[in-house]
Amino acid sequence: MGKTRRKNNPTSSFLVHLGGNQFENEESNHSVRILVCIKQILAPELVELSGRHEIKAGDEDPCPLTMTPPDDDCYRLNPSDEYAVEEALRIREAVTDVTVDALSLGPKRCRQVLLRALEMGANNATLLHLDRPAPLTPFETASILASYLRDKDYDLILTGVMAEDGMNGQTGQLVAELLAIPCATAVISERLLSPQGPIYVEREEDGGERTAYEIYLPAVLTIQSGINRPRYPALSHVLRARKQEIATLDAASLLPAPRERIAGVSRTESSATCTFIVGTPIEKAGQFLDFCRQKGFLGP
Amino acid sequence: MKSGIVVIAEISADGLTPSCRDVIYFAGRLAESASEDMLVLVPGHFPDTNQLPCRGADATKHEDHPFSKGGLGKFSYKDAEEIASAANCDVAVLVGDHLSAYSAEAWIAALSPVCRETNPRFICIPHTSRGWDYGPGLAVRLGASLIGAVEGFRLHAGNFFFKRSFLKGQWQMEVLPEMWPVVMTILPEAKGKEGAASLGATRSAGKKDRPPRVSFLSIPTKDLRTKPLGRLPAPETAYDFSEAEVIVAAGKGIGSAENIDLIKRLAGVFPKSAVGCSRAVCDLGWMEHRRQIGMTGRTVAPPLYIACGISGAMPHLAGMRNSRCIIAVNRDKNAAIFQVAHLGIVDDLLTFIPAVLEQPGKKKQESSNG
Repeated sequence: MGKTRRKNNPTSSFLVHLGGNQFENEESNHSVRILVCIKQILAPELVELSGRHEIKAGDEDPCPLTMTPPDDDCYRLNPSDEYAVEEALRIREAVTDVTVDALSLGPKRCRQVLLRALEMGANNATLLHLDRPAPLTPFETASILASYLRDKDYDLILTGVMAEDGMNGQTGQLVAELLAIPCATAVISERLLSPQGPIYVEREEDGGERTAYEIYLPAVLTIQSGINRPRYPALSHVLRARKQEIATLDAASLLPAPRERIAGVSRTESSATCTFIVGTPIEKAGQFLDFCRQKGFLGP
Repeated sequence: MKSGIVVIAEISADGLTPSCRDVIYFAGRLAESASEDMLVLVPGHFPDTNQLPCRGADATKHEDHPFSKGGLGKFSYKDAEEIASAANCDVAVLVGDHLSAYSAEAWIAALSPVCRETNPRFICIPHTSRGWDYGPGLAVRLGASLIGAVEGFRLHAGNFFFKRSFLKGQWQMEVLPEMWPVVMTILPEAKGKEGAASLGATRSAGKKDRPPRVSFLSIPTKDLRTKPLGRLPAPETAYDFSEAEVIVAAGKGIGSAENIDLIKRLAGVFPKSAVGCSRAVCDLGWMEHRRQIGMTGRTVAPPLYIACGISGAMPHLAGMRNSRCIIAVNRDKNAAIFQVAHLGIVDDLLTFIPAVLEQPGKKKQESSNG
């Protein structure tokens, strides 16, 4: 990745970057290449409600967790990845000469989320094709992405802060380390300070406090949910996206040796301490209020 | 400096963070099960590094140095000694100029050589916004396996299985590491209630034949590509929940912004109430961010917490699980929120809340939450 870019010194305190025009003193014609890594997930609420999924557990299986695909409408773009796509598009709109590419890893059905990224406005989309019933670990995912990305020379790699299905929130950091570039997670605000970088970044910490950084490019940012309002694709974009090609590459050969494996899965056991109120809604409401009254929460 | 279990501490302006105490407790139990020594690493900064008797990452130990005030928040030599004696483990403070402000890049650069030299089996990191920021990168640099948001462990036939939740906390998996060391981020509550901030609970850990030591390691400055600029307070003044006896919190299950009014009316049933919400509700713009309860919002512990349509994923639980009494209303009987609830109601909010509001005999109250 473009080593010459790192000469640019990050400057001055973070406050001065909060106003003013983008790239005031830049005469550069450097184009900025942004990649957004997106994941197709089995919608957790459908897992809860539809009962159409099937997770098999068995101790002998090398990986007992397989999610038998119901139909394609049970899958969707991971929400925080959608924020990442939107954020990349906003950077493109704020700065001239930016391309935004989308990348996903998985079976053919993942073309659906890439199509969504194209509809939102991404320039290009690539599917790293891997058809394996067991879910990948974050390290396996990141290794495949990093192998693909090693010679791609992206300036900025964005991804969502966490996938709602696996709840790991590790892929972005792993890709960054495998590529030996810096990373910031839970990014809630960012601004490119010049086409070559650095990028001004605020990341969200516990309790909502923020810490600010300047980071040299290339870099990986994992985008916090709520950073923006993802757009709904315009009809013209939807029609255009349907004509765009989604490049497909076979990723099977990039799969690394596993470093950890899922040895068993189970439904979270129901709590021993929770008492459930049963009955009609009216009865439940009555018991609920009785409980609150007994405990003194309804006042004297 | 060899040790089977390494804990990477996190300190704030108030000293060792509570979640870090939990992790030390968890690691102590792991140390007992694995018959290993435990070492706590404290990365930080001292204003006057030159006065410290440090000689590089492989320096010999300096047990007796009373270190100066300042730096490292309020963490002091006394704190280091307290950990060492209470948890019966060695403590090594990593001192370096670029460790004064947190960045994943600086932490990974400072910690990886020390971890390599220590050669542990397990590296335990608090699962906080920092821990999971640098933990994965540290694992790659060490060639380690990586397990995130660990809730507990089980030793079976010589193998350690680590438990974590997925799919909104409705499912749990056991993960078996296949590479060593194992880098883990540990959920604060993994201690179990009895551990409550008591470092002493791990006293019997390890198999040391000498008193625990506090040592210092000087970390050389590195050329870094991440430059910390400073801290910013949470953008809006967070809502003050401290006066409320009852917090009624809305989750995505409420369905739409219009239904937030139902939550406010339910809160109005209680004299001293406040309205909060999950992150998802803020992200959808249904409620202001300052009312968010959870890991990146407020942490609350009212006498009564009523969770409405909240699935109960870990980040939300982190902000409310210590409430004295928890009532959960959710139409999914498998929702993880019922794991922490005392009273559960499986119903649609749009049915249940109106039923409560229409009950005769409930005290009419004006909403006190604005």
